[in-house]
Amino acid sequence: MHEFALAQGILEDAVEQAESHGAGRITKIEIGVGQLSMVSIEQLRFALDSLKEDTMANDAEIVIEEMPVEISCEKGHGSKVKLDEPLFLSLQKIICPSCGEKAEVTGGRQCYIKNITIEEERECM
Amino acid sequence: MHVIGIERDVLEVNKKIAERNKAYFRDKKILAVNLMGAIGSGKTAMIEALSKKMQGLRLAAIAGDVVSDLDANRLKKLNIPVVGVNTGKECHLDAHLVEHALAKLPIDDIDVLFIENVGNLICPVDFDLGAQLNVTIVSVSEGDDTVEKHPMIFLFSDAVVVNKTDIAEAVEADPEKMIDDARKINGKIKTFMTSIKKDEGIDAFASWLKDERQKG
Repeated sequence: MHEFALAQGILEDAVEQAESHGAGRITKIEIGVGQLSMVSIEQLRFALDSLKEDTMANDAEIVIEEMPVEISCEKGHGSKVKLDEPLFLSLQKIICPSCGEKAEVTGGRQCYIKNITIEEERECM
Repeated sequence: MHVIGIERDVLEVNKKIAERNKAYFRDKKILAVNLMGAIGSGKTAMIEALSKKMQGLRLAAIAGDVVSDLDANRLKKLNIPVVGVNTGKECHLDAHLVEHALAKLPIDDIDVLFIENVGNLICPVDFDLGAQLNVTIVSVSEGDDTVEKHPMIFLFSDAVVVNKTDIAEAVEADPEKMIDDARKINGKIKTFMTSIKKDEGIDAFASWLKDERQKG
């Protein structure tokens, strides 16, 4: 349960970026959460909705996308795949989509802000 | 209205400090072991047991707990340097808390540093501490489907220790299944079965840690 701390970090980053671009308010925050991160998307959304109230993002639409798992096979092909639930089973049979060889997880644990959409100060008036 | 591309990971700050910790451990020739596991899996007891098997090495510990200094006080009885870290509301240690704790340790007099994480099989996975080894202890009393239920922590661990094997029969758990499950999702994971009460398997675990320290 570290979604509130992450949400706090996301909002601080978003507001800092928005202010540096002369924004009056943030209308949308787009976030990517890796499928292998332990972040619960629903809890993150709840945390962002609760914390955004007193910020310039108070009306912002929150869009959170689950990002695929990055894999690499023995032949060195890298690709991105969505794993089926339960993960315990799908993690045992990760196959490279290019060559069909067994592949290993190389990424998919991120939690990051992709984009923010802002309105500049004069647009808000 | 316009869109600003940010592409910044909110966990990046933690990752950067973790890398700094890792470089520091390497520089000081310390083997740091991030000891993860559920509440009651035997993390503190394992450090106590290992301390008897690793004499000749200078041990130290960072004991993470949400509140209280019970674990830290237990470990202090081993006569090793111990720093207790209270995470407050957080369910895991992070690299920043570890970095702060390091400042309170006699860093030039440590060979192996045990970092006992907060009892939790979920959140610590997201927070690299910079330790060279990530070890997860799971006790049979948690149920032999625990690895299945929490695959991620085992996917990203260097070793799994299935603990309390002496009571496996009483709690109707199959320790072999737990080891197999961990291997199924992580072909590289080192596996150990231990009973601290009966002093079984601790030697093997301790000697692996000693080997890993030799590798540097």
